[in-house]
Parts: sequence; structure tokens; C-alpha cells
Amino acid sequence: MIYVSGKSRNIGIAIILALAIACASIPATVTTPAGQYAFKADQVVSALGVFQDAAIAANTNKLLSDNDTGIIVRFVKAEALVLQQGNSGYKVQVSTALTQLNTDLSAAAKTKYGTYISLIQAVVGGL
Amino acid sequence: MNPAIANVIIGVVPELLQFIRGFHAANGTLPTDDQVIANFKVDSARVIAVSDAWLAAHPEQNK
Repeated sequence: MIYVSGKSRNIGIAIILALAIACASIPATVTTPAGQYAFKADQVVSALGVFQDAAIAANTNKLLSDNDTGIIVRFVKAEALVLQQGNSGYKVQVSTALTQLNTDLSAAAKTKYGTYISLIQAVVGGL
Repeated sequence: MNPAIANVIIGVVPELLQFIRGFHAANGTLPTDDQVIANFKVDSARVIAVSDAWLAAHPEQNK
């Protein structure tokens, strides 16, 4: 993956996630509860994946500490597992975990990744 | 082209394409229930695999 620095990267991620929100409508061809859940959950897990990939890329380039990266990676894994379980309360679970994440991250990481956290909240809230 | 815009395009297009790839079948029709369920399984497994790989490489962070 090509590494893109700072503000340009954040702008790009904002574009991706804004499109994700715009694409949030369940297709008419997805009719079962399991399919509709999977569609929504896939949007959230995809956004989480983008966030994690960005954090790991920054960590690889020594722009994000191992500690902050670990906080993000553990958060993403935990929420991906929640989504896999198919719990209908995933929105509350993920939103609560995002709030906690925002508390746990260093000030520097919050400055870098606050956009991702806000947009993931928007993706979850928009479903 | 503005370098900042080019930078954004280069950095995010591959991820954007990956993100939307599961939404439509190859012939452009809307996905079926089975397709979205399969996409979710693949995507969630990938995310967890990436997490596990990073944590395995950083055991001090595996709390």
C-alpha cells in the first residue's frame, strides 16, 4: 500500500467514509434479516479496516507509537468480533467502544485520527 | 494537477475500490443476500487477520 501522509490521507479517508455513508441504503435484493445485518455490519467493519490499516501504516513509518497503534488494533479486533457475533445491539457496543477509544488514545493520536473516529461514529449512526 | 489532490487519489483509490468491490456482482447487478453475507465474512476475517498479525509482531501490545 502506498503511504500517504497527514492531511491528504485524512482527506482521502473522509471521502471514502462519506461515500460509505452515502451508500448505506440496503439494496432491494437483500431481503433476509441475515443479509440486511451483514450489509450493515460490512459497512462498519470496512470502515474499521480502513482505520486500522491507516494506523498500522503510520506505525510502520514511525508516525504512530506502538502503544497508540495497539489501542487501535485491539479496538478494531474487538469490534470486528462483536459484529461477527451478529448481536443486534452492535450499534451501542461500537459507539461506546469508540468513545472509550477516544479517551484511551494519546493527545497526538487523537489529533491524527479524530477524523476517523468521528466518521466511523457517523457510519454506525447512519445505519 | 494539484499535488495534494494527486496524493489523495494515489493513496485512497486502491482502498476505495476494495471497499466498494463487494457491492455489485461482476455484471453490475445488485448483490444477493448470500453475496453480502459472504462479503461480510471475508471482510471481517481480513480485518481480524490483520489485527492478529500486528499483535503477533508486537507481543507487548497483546493485552
